[in-house]
Amino acid sequence: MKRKRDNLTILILLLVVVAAIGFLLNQQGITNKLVTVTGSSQTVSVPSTANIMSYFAIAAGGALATPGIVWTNIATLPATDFPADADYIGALNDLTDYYISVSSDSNINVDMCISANQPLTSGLNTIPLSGYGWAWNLLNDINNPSLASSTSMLTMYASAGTTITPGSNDYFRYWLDVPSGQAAGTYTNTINFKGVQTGQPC
Amino acid sequence: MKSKYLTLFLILILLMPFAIAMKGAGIKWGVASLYMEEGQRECIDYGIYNPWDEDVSIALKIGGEVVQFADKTELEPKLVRAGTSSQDAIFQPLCFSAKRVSGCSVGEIRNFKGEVIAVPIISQEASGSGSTTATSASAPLEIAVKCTGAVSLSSTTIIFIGVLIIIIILVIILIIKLRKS
Repeated sequence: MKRKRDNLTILILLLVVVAAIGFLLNQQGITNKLVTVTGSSQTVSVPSTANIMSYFAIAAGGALATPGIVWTNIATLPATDFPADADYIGALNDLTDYYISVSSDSNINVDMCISANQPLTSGLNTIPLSGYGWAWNLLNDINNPSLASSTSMLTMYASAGTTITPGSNDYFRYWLDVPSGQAAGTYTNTINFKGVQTGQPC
Repeated sequence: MKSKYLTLFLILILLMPFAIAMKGAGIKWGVASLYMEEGQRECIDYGIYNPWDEDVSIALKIGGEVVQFADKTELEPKLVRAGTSSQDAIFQPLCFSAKRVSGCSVGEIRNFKGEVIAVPIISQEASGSGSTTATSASAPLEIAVKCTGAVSLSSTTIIFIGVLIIIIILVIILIIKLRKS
């Protein structure tokens, strides 16, 4: 009699285990059951086969690609609005070699955004970003991009070119202020360029 | 004749600074906004391509408010050969799960803005004082979540409940055995 009762207890326990497993599996599916309007598929994969596809490609060009934005000739301090090495090049020293290209294999116009990861830094010493000036223009000549239209670099993205059409370039120039008494060293940071669809925020 | 060659040479010299090989990334998308209900999971395919001169590895990253719904915020970089056109873009899925939105009443729709960014992995070293540069291409993504009050249990919670049930059963068996003896 006692053995029968024990067997019954074990059976009940087994049923409890099965019920618990069932409960867990059911819980796993609850969210999907609640959200699936058609009640069939639980994970909906949406392949990019929509009728309207948007695409664009960008790349850093000229000195912006290699070696980057470099100042090699700052000999006397303080320096104010000192142009970067490739700000004025070419036979007439009238062109900038800093540019971002939007590929002709694009089907939308692009807005450009720019930011710095940190101030120019050498060990514990920094050159503040307030003295890191930059300007953009879709034209490239002696007057464009101009120092007059320059602004200071920020660590958050700022607009750096609008409605850049496929196959065209966004040109940049950079200027640096170095205060007197700035410690000697190699100061570096990273400048980020992000292309977004025209009209989208940075 | 000599002057012709000289002119050609000068033109080539002038063009030289602009003839450096370019590296970058392209992104292709067909979905800019997504409607989901709490608890729902959806995947969107994003294409990466490289119409530029050099092979490059490109990683897809998710940014902005939609990050909270992403299964993965960043995918492993994929090597994309130089000259890969948008027609030959390599597609990868990014999946989003609409978790319960706090403070959202049933039936309410909340919008979350963000982006999917194609980031080329390019190493560059400045040859003096100055800045290295990094480029990326961003596709907009907005997710609208309809609040349903659906309960979404995480796998950790499920495991915890399972272990708890097993412990309770073991305790019951132990009690039965103790009573027997």
